[in-house]
Amino acid sequence: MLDDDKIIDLYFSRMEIAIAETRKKYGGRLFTVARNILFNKEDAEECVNDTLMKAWQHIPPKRPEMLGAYLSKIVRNLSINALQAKKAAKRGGDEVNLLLGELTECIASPHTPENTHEANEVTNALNMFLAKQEKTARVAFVLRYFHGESINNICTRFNMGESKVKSILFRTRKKLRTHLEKEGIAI
Amino acid sequence: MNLFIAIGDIYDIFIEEAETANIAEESVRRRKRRNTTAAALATASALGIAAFAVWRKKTKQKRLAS
Repeated sequence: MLDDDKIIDLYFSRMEIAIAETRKKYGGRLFTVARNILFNKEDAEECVNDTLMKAWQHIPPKRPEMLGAYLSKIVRNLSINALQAKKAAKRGGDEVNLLLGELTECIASPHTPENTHEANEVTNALNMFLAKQEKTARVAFVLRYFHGESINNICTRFNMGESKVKSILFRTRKKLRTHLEKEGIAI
Repeated sequence: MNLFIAIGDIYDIFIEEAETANIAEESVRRRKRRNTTAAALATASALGIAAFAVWRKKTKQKRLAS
């Protein structure tokens, strides 16, 4: 498999093999993120294809420092958009609602940020918060709420029991809530 | 919903870390290290500190040689 720099060079040379190489290296990972949000194989496949198309359109001029993370962000956003466009998918909606429900407890007020500035503030606060966490807690949090991984999958990856993983996530959400309150977000 | 969306913009490094981290292996390594430290402390109290220093040096040399 080609390394990221070489793949990006292929994009810069406008060689279509760049898309095939990206799919070979990151296709599985992108599909998992999309499926964890959409719970539909066909929709997830479509989002992966759209992601590759977006990468083709934006590279160049963009040169992502971490191609995998860059693509993961695109596929996640596209999947959320697809989900919203379908007015909450019939299948899998419960799981995403569960993810949202778990995070809602971190925000004390139902009035959530509505403009970009406030959204950036939330992201900055999140980044600061994540940087301060222990690696296990941070990885668990990102796997659960960025990648949309199920608790079972996280248990398998961590070789830990369900209650341990749930407790790590619970403690991290609780700390996040305190952190966001301290930062004056959505209180 | 906004917090869920905001998480989509976290630093790339956190996303990569989550993808590549092998927490299971790291926790096994940590446990081994803890056990080694416990064993070393037990040996230290059994041998006395001077003898322990010699034992530790030999153990380290053996480990580096293997």
